[in-house]
Amino acid sequence: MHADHSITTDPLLQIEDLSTFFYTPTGIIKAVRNLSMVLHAGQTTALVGESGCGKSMTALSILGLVPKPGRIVDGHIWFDKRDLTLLAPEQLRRVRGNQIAMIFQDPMTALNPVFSIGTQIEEVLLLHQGLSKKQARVKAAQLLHQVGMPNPQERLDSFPHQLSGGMRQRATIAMALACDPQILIADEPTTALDVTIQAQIMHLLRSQQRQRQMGLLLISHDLGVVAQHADQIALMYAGMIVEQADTFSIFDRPHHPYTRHLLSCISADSATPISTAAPHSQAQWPPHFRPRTSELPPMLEVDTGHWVRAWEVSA
Amino acid sequence: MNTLLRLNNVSKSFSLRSRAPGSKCQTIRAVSQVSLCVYRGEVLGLVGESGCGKSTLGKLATRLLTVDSGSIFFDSVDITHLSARLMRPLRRKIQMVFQDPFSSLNPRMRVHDILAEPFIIHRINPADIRAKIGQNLRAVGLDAADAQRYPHEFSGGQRQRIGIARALSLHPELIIADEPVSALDLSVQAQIIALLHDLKREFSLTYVFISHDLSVVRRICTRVAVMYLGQIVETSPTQDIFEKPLHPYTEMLLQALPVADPHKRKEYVPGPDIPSALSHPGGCPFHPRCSYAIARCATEQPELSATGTMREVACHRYRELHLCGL
Repeated sequence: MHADHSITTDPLLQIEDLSTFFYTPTGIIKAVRNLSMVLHAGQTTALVGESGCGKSMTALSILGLVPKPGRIVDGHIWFDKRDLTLLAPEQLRRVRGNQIAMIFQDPMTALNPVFSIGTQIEEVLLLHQGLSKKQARVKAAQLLHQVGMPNPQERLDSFPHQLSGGMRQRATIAMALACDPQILIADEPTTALDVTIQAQIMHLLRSQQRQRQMGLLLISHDLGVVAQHADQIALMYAGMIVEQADTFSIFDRPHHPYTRHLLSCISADSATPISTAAPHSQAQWPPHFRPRTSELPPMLEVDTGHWVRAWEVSA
Repeated sequence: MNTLLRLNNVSKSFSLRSRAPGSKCQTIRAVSQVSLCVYRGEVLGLVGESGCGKSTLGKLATRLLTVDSGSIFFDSVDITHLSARLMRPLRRKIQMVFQDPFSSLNPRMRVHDILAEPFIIHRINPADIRAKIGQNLRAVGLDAADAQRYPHEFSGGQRQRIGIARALSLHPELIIADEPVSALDLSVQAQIIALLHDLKREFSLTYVFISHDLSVVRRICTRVAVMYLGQIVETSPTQDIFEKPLHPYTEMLLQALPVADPHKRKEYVPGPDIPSALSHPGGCPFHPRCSYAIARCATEQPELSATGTMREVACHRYRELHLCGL
């Protein structure tokens, strides 16, 4: 849909061979392994996978927020001609929330319950844009208006618990958009919401994205949301991208057995449950995947821009 | 058709008392005047947005909550006001599976003790319990040896299997499952749904499947009841409701559902949020959000009336409207 115009331009964000490991007393957990992907202005790339597959850790790696004992052990994250993995904490702080913003699944935990939402949005503006208190308040009301909050002026003084789930998510989006970010990372932004509210919030995100030409990194396990809204899809499994292509190729011509399996889970009749849940990345691969060897299979290009992690590609 | 559970004009409200001085006591009408039949052998989906009263309805049907008015019949017996003692033999026949497999299992009890509880309460011969627990665990795809472990040693999907094993213990006829798969990953969801299917066949069960996820409901349910602000607005066989909804609210839910097919993208944006259950609008409860509302809808409440085969709808205009399905 929007896939044509951007391929020629330079990507906003380019991740090369990113690996994020956790060094725990019981061993190394490879949360993200050799992950490469790009994000273009005005485009939506979806990171899809089940819990524990490393999609949120990828997002936190971009923002330099990987919790201890985890750290980025390898790779580059190119943004604005700089490698984010090499920035000092102070430099990174200026990027985070300013040029790259993030919204989370549960707006109730993302918002501070003891401050009004106006105060929380103004804080971002005071910190990053150096506005005066008065200017910040005016801008905060404008932002609430832009995200479709009714009576924005009065809502500035509301506390998170006084808002419904959908309105809270609107408030966090307003906060994320406060500094006109070039990249918005949305980690399961609608999972906690009803379908009707989900449709509203996704519509809001898409319209703001179009207006601002933001790159949207959409993290989701919902294949419906992804099919409706993503331009590119990267499927993750046990810390790795197993298949990566534009949305239509993934749904029309899935190659990797895991992609095929996930797609079979959503069709009414052909669901073929696998015998185990998504494994720990150190664990064995489920039996009907190829027996595990010590090395990772390479990413093979099966079609222009359609990559699959596999030893061989069957027709 | 053989009716297993029948709700007759059931209502339930909760009062919200605020501690602020001078504030009034407010009443939430969680379920109002609901009549619903569950037929033996079916999988009835109960859908609606959060706060529409679907979980309350499930709890009323199991007598975990007591109705304010109306009556409940299970297998033609009026259970509305049965005493706890008389209710006990019936409780074996109605069981619940809960949404969150993390909070519905006691973390301090071994799986064996969790699964033994129903047998102890219902005074089953203690000598048989161990064997029965083993059988139940195998029926839900776990191992008899898992009985010695604690809930935290299991994944979400496995815990939900334990919850299902507990519900199955006493050979129930009706299982009310309140969002049993919404906390689970896609592939684990598929496993649990397959398990529920198999168990239904094996133990000839009837399910009431409470969910806000229409794509899951479509896969497992034979019939769907749609709830809005404490009332049922439409009931239909699953295929009919997805292909040709009769109530504008059902259409809204279907149109908001993201379809996992990039070739079917839609630019539909639903109207305003669900109003608070504190303030019921007059007339049809859905009229403030309904794009087909006419003057009559604001003043006169439509009755749930039968139409066609196995279908009921509460809308003044359902005959003239041609709504879109999926």
